[in-house]
Formats: sequence, structure tokens, C-alpha cells
Amino acid sequence: MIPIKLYLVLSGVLFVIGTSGVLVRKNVLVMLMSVEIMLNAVNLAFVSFARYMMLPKGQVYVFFSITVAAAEVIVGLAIIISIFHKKESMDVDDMNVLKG
Amino acid sequence: MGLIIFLILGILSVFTAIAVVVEKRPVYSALYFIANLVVLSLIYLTLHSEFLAVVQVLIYAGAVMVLFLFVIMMMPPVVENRFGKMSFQKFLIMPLLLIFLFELVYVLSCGLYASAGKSPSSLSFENFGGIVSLGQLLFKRYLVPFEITSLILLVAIIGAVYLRRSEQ
Repeated sequence: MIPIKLYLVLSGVLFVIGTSGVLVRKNVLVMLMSVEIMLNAVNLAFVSFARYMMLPKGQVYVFFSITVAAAEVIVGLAIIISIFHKKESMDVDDMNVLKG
Repeated sequence: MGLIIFLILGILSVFTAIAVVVEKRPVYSALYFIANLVVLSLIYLTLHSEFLAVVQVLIYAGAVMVLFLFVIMMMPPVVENRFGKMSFQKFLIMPLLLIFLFELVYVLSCGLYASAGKSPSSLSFENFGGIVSLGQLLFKRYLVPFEITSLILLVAIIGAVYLRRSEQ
């Protein structure tokens, strides 16, 4: 059996890649995809723990997290399209109405 | 043998994830992300979570990414220069991300949970990730969260429709 450490390290590496995508990229769509990569990394950790402790509950949590991710993508894309119709741009630096 | 398959899949998934972040055109990012999802579902198969592997391909690669591709199709084609203008904050990010990566890999591999695999279980090895064990959990013990999930989806649909209609 493959040691669980390998799966967890893989999940950590994927999480860092997703974080770098959110921090570095400027295209909103790619940032949303990077958030999805982070969610998938956490799902991988859940599934590997579920496997190694032999508890199928972990998979149920992954099931719920996939559902919430789908809902998040729906709302996120609707917001992105609305902003695009106002600003004609996909660049996060142009979305400065709140002056954050 | 299992280790070799895992290593190949792991390298593939890291490679496709990096390609999502680095790729200039959003369509290519989306396609690399689909590849990443398929590789992840294969990794779920090595963990004997067959039902989740199927759900991953069906919902993520089938539904969510198609939605992404539709939105990308509606936008004019943009080829941004890779990371935009690199401001000094972005140069600051790189060492911080390296520290984060080192930290995560160190903590995850230091082995506090080494005894986890030995916990006794009433489940047999075969029906662990199948649809039977998962369905019984979902519809008996987690019935209320499962119903609330449908409420979340309903709220998401109404929110998306409202966001698009309120401008017209």
C-alpha cells in the first residue's frame, strides 16, 4: 500500500500551485480555476484519509464539497459576466470600484 | 507497481496544475484543468474510491468545466502577457509561496498520523468506496445535510439568474 504521506504531500503541492494561481494571475477566470485546484487538493487529502482510516464518511464530505464547489462556480461565473458587461475587461486590476 | 502508477499520476497532476496557472490563454488553462481533473479521478481510483472518481469526471469535467468553457467562449479572446505587469508585491509572493510549500510538505510528511492505518474497521476492503456504502451513509446518517445541499444548489441557481436579470 502506498504510504499516505505521498498523497498528502501531493495534495499540499497542488494546494500551493492553486494559491500561486490566485495570487499571481490577473485573469478572473484563471483565478477561479485556481480556486478549484485548491478545492481539489483538499478533496484529495479527504479521500486519502478516508482510505487509510477506512472511514467512508470522508468521501461523503468530498461529495458535499464538490456540490458546494459547483454552486460557487455558478455564482462566480455570473458575477464575472456581470462585471465584464460593465467594465469590458477580465483583469482584476480593473475591478477597483470598492477601492480596496 | 502501485507506487510507479502513483508517481506517474502525481507528476502528471502537478504538471497539468502548473500548466493551468502558467498558460496565457484561458481556453488552454481550462483544457489543462480538465486533464488535471481526469488525472485526479485516476488517483481516486488508486485509493479505491470508485464512486467519487466517477462523480469527479461527471460533475467537474462534465458540468462545471463546460460552464467555464461557455463563459470563455462568450468573452473576446484575450492573450494577456503572462502575469501582467510584475509589481513588487508579486516578486514578494514568490519567496512566500516557497516558504508555504516547504512548510506544507514538511508538516504533512513528518508523520504524526503514522498509526492511522491500523485503526480497526468493520468495513471490508471491497465495498469501501462503492456506491453501496456511500449511498447508505448519504441517505441514512447524512440525510439532513444531503437535503440542505439541494437547497444550496437552488440558492445558487436563483442567485445566478438574479445577477444576470437585474441589469436588464
